[in-house]
Amino acid sequence: MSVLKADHISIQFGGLRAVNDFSIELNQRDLFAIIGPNGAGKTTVFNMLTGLYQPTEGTIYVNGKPMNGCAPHEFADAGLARTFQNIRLFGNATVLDNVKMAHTYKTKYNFFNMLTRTGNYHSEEKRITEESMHLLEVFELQDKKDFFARNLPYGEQRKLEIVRALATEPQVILLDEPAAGMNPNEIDNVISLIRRIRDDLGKAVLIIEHHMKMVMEIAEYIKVLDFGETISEGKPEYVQQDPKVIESYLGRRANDFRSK
Amino acid sequence: MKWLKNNSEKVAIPLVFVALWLLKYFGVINNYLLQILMLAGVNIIMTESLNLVNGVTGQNSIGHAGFMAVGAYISALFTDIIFNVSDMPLIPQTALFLLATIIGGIIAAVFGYLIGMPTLRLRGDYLAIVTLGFGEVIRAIIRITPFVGAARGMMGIPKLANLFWIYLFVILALYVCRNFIDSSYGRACMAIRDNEIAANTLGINVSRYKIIAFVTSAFMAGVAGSMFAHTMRYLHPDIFSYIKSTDFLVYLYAGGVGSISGAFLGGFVLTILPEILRFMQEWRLVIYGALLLIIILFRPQGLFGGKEFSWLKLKTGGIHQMGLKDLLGRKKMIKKEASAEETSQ
Amino acid sequence: MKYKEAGLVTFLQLLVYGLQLGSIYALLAIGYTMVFGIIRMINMAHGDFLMIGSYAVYFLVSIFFADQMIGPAIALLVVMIAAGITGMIGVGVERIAYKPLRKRSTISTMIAAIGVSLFTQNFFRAIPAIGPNPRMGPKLLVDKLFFIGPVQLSMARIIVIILSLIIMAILYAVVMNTKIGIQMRAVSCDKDASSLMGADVNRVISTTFFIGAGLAAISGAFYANSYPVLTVTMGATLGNKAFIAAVIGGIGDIRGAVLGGYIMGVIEIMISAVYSELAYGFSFVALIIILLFKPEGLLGKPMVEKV
Repeated sequence: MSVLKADHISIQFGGLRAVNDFSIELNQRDLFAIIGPNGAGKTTVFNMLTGLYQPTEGTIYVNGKPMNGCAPHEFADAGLARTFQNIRLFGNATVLDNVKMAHTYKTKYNFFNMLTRTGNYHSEEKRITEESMHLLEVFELQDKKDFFARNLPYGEQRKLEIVRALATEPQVILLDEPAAGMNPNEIDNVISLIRRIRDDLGKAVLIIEHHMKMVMEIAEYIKVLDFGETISEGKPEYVQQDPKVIESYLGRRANDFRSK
Repeated sequence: MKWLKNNSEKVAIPLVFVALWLLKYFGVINNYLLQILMLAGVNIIMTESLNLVNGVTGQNSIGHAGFMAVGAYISALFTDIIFNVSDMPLIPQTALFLLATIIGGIIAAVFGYLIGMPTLRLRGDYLAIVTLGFGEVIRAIIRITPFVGAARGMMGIPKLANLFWIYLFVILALYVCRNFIDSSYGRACMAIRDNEIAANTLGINVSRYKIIAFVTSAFMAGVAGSMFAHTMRYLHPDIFSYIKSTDFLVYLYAGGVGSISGAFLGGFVLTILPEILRFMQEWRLVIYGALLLIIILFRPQGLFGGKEFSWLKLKTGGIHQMGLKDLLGRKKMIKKEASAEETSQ
Repeated sequence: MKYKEAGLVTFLQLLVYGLQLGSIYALLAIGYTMVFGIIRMINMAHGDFLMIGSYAVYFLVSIFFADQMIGPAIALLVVMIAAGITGMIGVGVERIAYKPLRKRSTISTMIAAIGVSLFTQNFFRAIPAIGPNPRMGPKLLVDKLFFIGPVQLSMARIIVIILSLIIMAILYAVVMNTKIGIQMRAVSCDKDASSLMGADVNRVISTTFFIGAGLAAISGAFYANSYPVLTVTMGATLGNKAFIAAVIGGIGDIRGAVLGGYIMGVIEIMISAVYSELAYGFSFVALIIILLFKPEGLLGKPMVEKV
């Protein structure tokens, strides 16, 4: 069974059709990518896949469950996690607390237990802290656990956002431009990080990325969007050769010149 | 000995009360001082309650006096009008007082739910405006309700609150806030404060946690209202105007928003301060206004923002721990902090 | 039949009262809405500008004209001078107390405004020239009563309504057509971008405060003319209602503030004719109802956060 499936989804803002007839199906350990020029509707697809926007047509399934009308936190419950293009950390919380915050919906004690510190309050808090520390150790952030998230360097902020998403124990993780603003050395780190998420943790990964070399290197299957339409899809080798893709990336620029 | 060192608060909290009681017994704390201390206690509970909404969850409630009014009037209605507890012996009197306090809190919490449910879904400053409106509507309703005294006010409420009860409820309020913050509930609320969209996509049911924080806060405000009614023995709708609400906001933001200790010290210091400034007569509120402005301009996190008493043993928030020594040696700490802030920016 | 007619007469008279009060609210609400539109701040001290304005008129009249009756031309001049003085105070307040807080949250600027309000009110109360006792407001206009059919009308009220409408029309023209008006609208859309496009953001904000405080002073003068009791706290309640008016109309939109002001004024007068204790509370009930069904206000646009 697929972990994430979008069945012909479209979304309209007023009169504008931002994304039209988009479909995708991810199974376990799949590593797919969505590419396309700026404004092609890639982030809009992510926003639909995570419940921030409701598609006007079509249905999204997470682990086989139809998600029509569900709120973002229900998508997370169903096994989905994501990061954001403009990093959205909890800046006033420490690195450790950022990861612990992602455990909220799985915590097994109620309001009364919390107020009186009875029931499994202590065991649950212990478990959450241990699991969070373990994740930080796996991704080599344990030394920074007491730093405020806003004080981390840029690259580590991106990494922490990924770690935090993983803490919700998703089946599939959506990464929105994980390599944006990084130098080649850092990009190599991101590549190995994404591979580890897929190979060692067994998650399905869907990424949006502008960095072509990276996408061609890691993605198994690529979907190309332009003006909300899927103009091409397939294996990296195929997409790379597709004239429509080349036109959407290069032809547009030629048009721009002409219009000036 | 090691136990004592780790659990000093368990000894210190009763000891402080005994000390206060002895001071009162030997007349060092006269009735005037006692009244101020008890009011400070009420204000601390209110400020802590406001901190749960404004500080921890990052929503702006600016009409908290409305919940206080509900708690005050409901509990006073209970002890003064439904049961005339003044003539009762001590034990049923106390029991009814506590029951009235809890009922006051529950009714305030119900109001909190009714107001929070529709408005907390909205982004932006709508909650602020609606809570402000709620406070004023409650006041308008009290004004035309004859059996609670309408515009004349409600007089002769039995003086059931005393140093012990206020002290106990202040400690309980601190305890509730501490436990709330140091749990998945508090962490969820802080996540919402810092980034609502990210919190939502991480599986946090945003409106649920906002409501939980808001209702808990309204309950505490109702309890504080009951304490207030049974301390002052007189209620008037105009006491609970939006000016009262802004008092608590001032205590919270001057003390340090988001910090339990900041709310505690803000409520305590700023209740006492105008009394100390009394010798300046009509100039005292001028100074008070100017001081408030100076604090907001030059200490963005409030006087004690980002720091907590070490005895609260807070694990969440990565806060500075502050012991008795730090409190006494404030100057040094401010310097240290200023340099720490510079390096972090 | 006759009874019905009498009801209509009362209604029309109340309507004029309501429109007059509404003019005062509208002038005050414009200040709230402009400041909110440009720096996203709820200026809790805005009502105090009204108080300062009405005291400025009081002192100008009692110092220079020794409480004699003054003609309409001089009265207008006095109001304008008072508006200018209050406007300058408004600019000063923004520079000292609000400007350092521009990057902070709405609520901390709001607390700063509470500080300003506490300071101003108590400062005025503490200085001997003003003091805690209410003052008798100056009569700027001699009121004449006249009849249109059976409806008794007051000249002064009509003049207030007309003058307010003229002022608001001028303001609207300024905001829509002049360079500074266009800059104001640009800054309210995007502060950083408009500063890159050459708008002097500080100057725009100062101008906004000048206009807002000036209008508050004018509304104070109008208010003092019909309800001639000046106290240092007079701005607080009026300011609150004007703020509600701005929210009902859609905060950030000048037309909304005007609409909200008139709605508030008329409703308040109508309700207090029936049961005066209810009027104040009802304005908040109206506010809550509108917020529940149209949270952005009657003319406002919803705020959407981009993901």
